[in-house]
Amino acid sequence: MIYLDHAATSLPRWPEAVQGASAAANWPTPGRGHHHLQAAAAEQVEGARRSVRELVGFGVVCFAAGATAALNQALLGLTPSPRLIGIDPLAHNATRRPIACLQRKGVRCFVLPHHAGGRIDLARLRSEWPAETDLLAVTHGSNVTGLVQPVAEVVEIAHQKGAKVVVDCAQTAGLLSPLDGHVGGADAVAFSAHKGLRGLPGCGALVLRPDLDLEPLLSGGTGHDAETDAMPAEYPARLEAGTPNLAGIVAMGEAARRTLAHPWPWRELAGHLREALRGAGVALVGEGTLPIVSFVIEGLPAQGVEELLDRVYDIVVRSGLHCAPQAHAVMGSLASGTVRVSGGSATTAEEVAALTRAVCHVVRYQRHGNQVI
Amino acid sequence: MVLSYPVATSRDCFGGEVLIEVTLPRGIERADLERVRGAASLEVLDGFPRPFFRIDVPGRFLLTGLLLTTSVRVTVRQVHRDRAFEVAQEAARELMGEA
Repeated sequence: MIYLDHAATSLPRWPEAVQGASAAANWPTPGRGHHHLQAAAAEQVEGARRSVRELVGFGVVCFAAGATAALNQALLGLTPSPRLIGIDPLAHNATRRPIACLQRKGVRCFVLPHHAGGRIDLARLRSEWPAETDLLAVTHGSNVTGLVQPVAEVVEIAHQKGAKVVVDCAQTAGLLSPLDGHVGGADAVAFSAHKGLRGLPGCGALVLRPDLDLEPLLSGGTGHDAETDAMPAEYPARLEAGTPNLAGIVAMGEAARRTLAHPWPWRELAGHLREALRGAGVALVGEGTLPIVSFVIEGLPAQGVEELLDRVYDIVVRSGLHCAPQAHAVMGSLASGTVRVSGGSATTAEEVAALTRAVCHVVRYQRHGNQVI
Repeated sequence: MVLSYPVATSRDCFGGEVLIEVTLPRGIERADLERVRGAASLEVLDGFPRPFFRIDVPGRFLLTGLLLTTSVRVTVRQVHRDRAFEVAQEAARELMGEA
């Protein structure tokens, strides 16, 4: 089997992350009580927090149930509530849907000005900045096209105008490290553990600057300050109500350590994937630098191509809208979706060659019919 | 009676069709494909490394899979999505000559 759906979940997970999670499965809840077992568990959590902090390079690390939970917290919890939000043209539903919730409550929203492929148009953003814009929600790396937005420049403009910037780093965390060098000055970044980090699903982080005022979406026990009804004022406790996902957090910390210690040549793979698919005669959708490539074969539904690659060639890719209809609308593929190929650190040149052969075969079938295959 | 059961169900990205993976009691032979009623098209792509088939029954379902295997996908059309499992079972029974 050739697995090319790393943008959804990157495999294999780090063995050390899985081992860490397995060990943590038998630990007690950290921060509850004062006995030695909880203290040992708490030290593991704080060690994971330090590792994730190192991966990001700034801010306070608040663990969450994934990038979606982290983005919801950042977008819905911002205090005071924004008046006008600028949203990335390539936004995933993890960003789009929380903002839609705000729109239903009267918050206004606009799509950031962009070029044809969805890259934010910095000149227009600066010159056409709508008054009352309090918040920008930016997608660092598109999960459809692999395009990386110029986040540092966007942040610079937004801060000059007095707006905050929340960045979805689901596709870039673990590839662009430390993130700080690429999202310079962002107020908050969100990502999950199971993509570029190769940790476990169900865990992620919201990393924020401590001056960002967020009302917690969840309230509950934190193990301290129990006499008051209010959540603690300080991060990360303010955003970490309830029993933490200890196994996921420990795995995420281990994955962050391994990811930092073992960078891999993903830019090279991204180039190979694009070159291979172009050579196979398909139409690429959009341009990007991450190892994520979308394509279509004229006359064949994307879902059918996915099934053929899966059943006939044992190659796993993903078709459809990839939970990013706005990105597909920008790319002109909203009605039909695309086939998305996404590579990971385990992807080999032989696998890319096998993908190329298979896609060539499908293209030939489409163009010439069954008899010539 | 064919004992078919869905092993996985999912919805397509466009909110319309329901995809049901069905495991059959035996491998699918070419002759089985002829039993599916109302097919507007029946394709067997035997030029591929594994022989893939595709049966389109307009308004009901799209049936896809590999010959000689026991796993098929029934893509139930939007109009039947409230009774998708029943439609998938009907498709499987027709394929196995039990309908």
